[in-house]
Amino acid sequence: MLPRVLLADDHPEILNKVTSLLASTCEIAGKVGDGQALLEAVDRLKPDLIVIDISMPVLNGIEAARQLKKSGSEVKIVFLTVHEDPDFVQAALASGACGYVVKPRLATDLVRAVEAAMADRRFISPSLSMKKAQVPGSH
Amino acid sequence: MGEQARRHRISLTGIAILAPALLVVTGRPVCVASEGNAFKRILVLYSATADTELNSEFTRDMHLGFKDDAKPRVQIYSEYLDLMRFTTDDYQDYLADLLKHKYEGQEPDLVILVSRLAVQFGLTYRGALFPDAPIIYCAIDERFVPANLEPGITGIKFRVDIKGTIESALRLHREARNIFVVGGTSAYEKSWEGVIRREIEEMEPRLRFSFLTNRPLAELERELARLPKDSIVYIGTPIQDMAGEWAMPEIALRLICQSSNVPVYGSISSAYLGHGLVGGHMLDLGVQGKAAADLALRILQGEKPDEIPVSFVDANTYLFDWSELERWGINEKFLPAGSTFLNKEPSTWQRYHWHIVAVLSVLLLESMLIAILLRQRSGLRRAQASLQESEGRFRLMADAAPAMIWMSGTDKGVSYCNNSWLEFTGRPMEEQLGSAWIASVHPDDVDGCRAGYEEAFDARRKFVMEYRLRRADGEYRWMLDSGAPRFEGDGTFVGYIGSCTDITDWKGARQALSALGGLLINAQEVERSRIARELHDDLSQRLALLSTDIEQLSQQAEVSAPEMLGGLQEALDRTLEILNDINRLAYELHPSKLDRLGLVSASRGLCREIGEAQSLQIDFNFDAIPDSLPRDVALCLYRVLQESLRNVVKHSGTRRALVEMNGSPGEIRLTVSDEGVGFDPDRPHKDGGLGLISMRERLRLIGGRITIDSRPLRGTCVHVSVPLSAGAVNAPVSNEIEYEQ
Repeated sequence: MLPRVLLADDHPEILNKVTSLLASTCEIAGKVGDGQALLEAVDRLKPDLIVIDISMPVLNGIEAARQLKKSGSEVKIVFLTVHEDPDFVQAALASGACGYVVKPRLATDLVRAVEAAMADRRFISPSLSMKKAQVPGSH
Repeated sequence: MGEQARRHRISLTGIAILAPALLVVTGRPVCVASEGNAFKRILVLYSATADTELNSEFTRDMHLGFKDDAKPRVQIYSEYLDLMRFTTDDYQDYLADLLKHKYEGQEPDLVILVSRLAVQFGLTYRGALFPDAPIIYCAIDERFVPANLEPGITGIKFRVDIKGTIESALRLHREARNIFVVGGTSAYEKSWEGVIRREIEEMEPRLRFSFLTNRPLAELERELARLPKDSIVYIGTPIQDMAGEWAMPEIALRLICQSSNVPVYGSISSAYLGHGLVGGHMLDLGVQGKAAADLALRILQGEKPDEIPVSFVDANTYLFDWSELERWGINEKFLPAGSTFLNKEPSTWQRYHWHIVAVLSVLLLESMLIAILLRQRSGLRRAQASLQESEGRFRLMADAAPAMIWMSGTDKGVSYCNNSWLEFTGRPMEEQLGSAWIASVHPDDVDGCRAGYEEAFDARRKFVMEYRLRRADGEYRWMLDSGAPRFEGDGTFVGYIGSCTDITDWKGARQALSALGGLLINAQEVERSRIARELHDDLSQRLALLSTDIEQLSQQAEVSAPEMLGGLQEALDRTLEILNDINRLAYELHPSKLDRLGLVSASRGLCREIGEAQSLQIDFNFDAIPDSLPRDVALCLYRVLQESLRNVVKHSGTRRALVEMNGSPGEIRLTVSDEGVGFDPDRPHKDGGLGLISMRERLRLIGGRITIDSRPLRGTCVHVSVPLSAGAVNAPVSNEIEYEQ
């Protein structure tokens, strides 16, 4: 049974690209354009995993992730973003995410990140220097 | 034997004849000793009569010598023998006989013989009268002291200073060449003439001596009245016998002095001074009297007369009659040192000189005080005039000034307003005085205005305050009022002076400018944010997609067209570079981290980025920063931090900086410090200080404050505080991502 994945990004082309990349390995449960819509869709669709952008209108991705975790949701979270700053990585992981993929490495890293997440492993795009993002529990 | 027979005759016949005469001779009553008395009897025999002044000094001082407590106590019997006038042997025999009978059974314990004739008598009749009594003789010139004295006799002597008197007179009369010596005719007086003639011999070469003796008083008076001018008269001994005319010595002396046309000097007893004599080296017979008494007591106490040698007692003193000196116009400065004066009235100065000194001192003091007071008064008047002029000038200037000027006294009440003030408020002076002026202040500003003024006044501080004041046309205008305490020259506080300026227009312009500045900053931030969003949200997304496509193509090319692989890889690298640059540019334009992660994360990131880029060690500490802050507050603090760190990089010259960010209820404080070269905050920096201006302006827009603590070579410390209103803090949402590294 394929994992049910919900996508959240305010950029339609990204959504399309991600859809095509994950089509063979996941069931795309839905697509939303902002953080608030994400919270509603998770509640409604109960996906196994969400792929979310950080910079989104209304409610940004990190804030949305925090709220989800706070509400007790066990959905797995993979961030897909152009932010390569370690502070973002740190903040993303701290908010409850288990994967962090930078968009330019989308083609190679996203499927691996989803697979890792489903296997309860953490995945961060290897192109990021992990030295700058010491994360609690990561070593 | 003949002498014995004569004495016998006296004893038989003399009493009846001489009894009346003796009553006269011994007319002065003496102390009478009673039988069995422990008092010692002293018999004193005088040559002269009792009533001559010659004896008075001697007797007085001798009695002083026999004080009441003298040991032993004595009883004195005085006999005045009058031996100058009565010179016959018979007289002396009868006299001796009388004394013998008189003192029979009351023999004296000691006899004192006073002066030459009494000494001769006493020694002659000693065997008959008082053979066992010791004898003391005194008041006798050493030239006439008898030689070869019998046992039981001692005495004291003096010397009439003939030459000393004449020499002292000559010092007062340097022109004198003639000395007229006046003397008596009796044998006693003649004996003195002989002595004088011998004494003056050595003076004669320079002086001519003439002796006026042996002549009656009338003739003497005539001669004395016609003496040459260069003459003085000298008297050696008291004069009594003038060719058979007898007179009491003091009367004779007075007549002689009165008739003489030149000054009369003498070496006789000082008792005669005051009868016309100018003075001389004179005899003080009191000294002899005292010495005789002392000697008598010694003998009565048991000392043997033979063991007491005859002693010389100097009884001479230079004595002058001041009234005679004045009468003859004699200059006292040539008198011998230590001279004593008779009849010298102390001068007013001598009598009252302390009073005079005191009075003069008081007068002087008063004069000085008056002078000082007059001077002070004149100074005060000048100062008052100067003050009035100065005050007049001040009023003129104050009234001409466009500024509104006021003054107050020590009671805080207004005491003066210039014309500009009166014209502005349209109210007369009397409606301004005291605290009446406050009626023109806007009701909303009255409390603040009064409090500010009184607080500054009580602390004697300068003050500047703004309040609204009603203009004559009823419109309230904003005033800038600056006041300062006034002190007099001596530091006495006398009130305040201040000036007011209408700043309504300026205030409006400032507000407009401030609003414009805020708008500009906001507009800039909005625009930056928009561009950043465009870059990030669109361009970078699309580039990311492009890179993904290229990456996928290269993965496919790996199998189909290996030769394309290199070209695709290169295209991918370039795309990623562009993407990186765009992201960095977007971030610089607007820190998306601030919006997404909050102030602490963004600030920490900023410190790290600048630190890495500039090889700077920046320590970042924070405490109690609210999770979510108003966007303008967070952005302001971020920009200020950014600017401060930029300054550290550009100007400090150091490679280390410390950033501290602390929250407390109501405010956030940011401190950026370095230990670099520092600068003088009062002098604008080379770059024109635009960074600082923008920091101040950003802070002003949100009510924050900035202080820069810097000194050359002492580093720089920028302190910023930003107020937080109660509603300004959003619900904390980002606390879970904050942790220390």
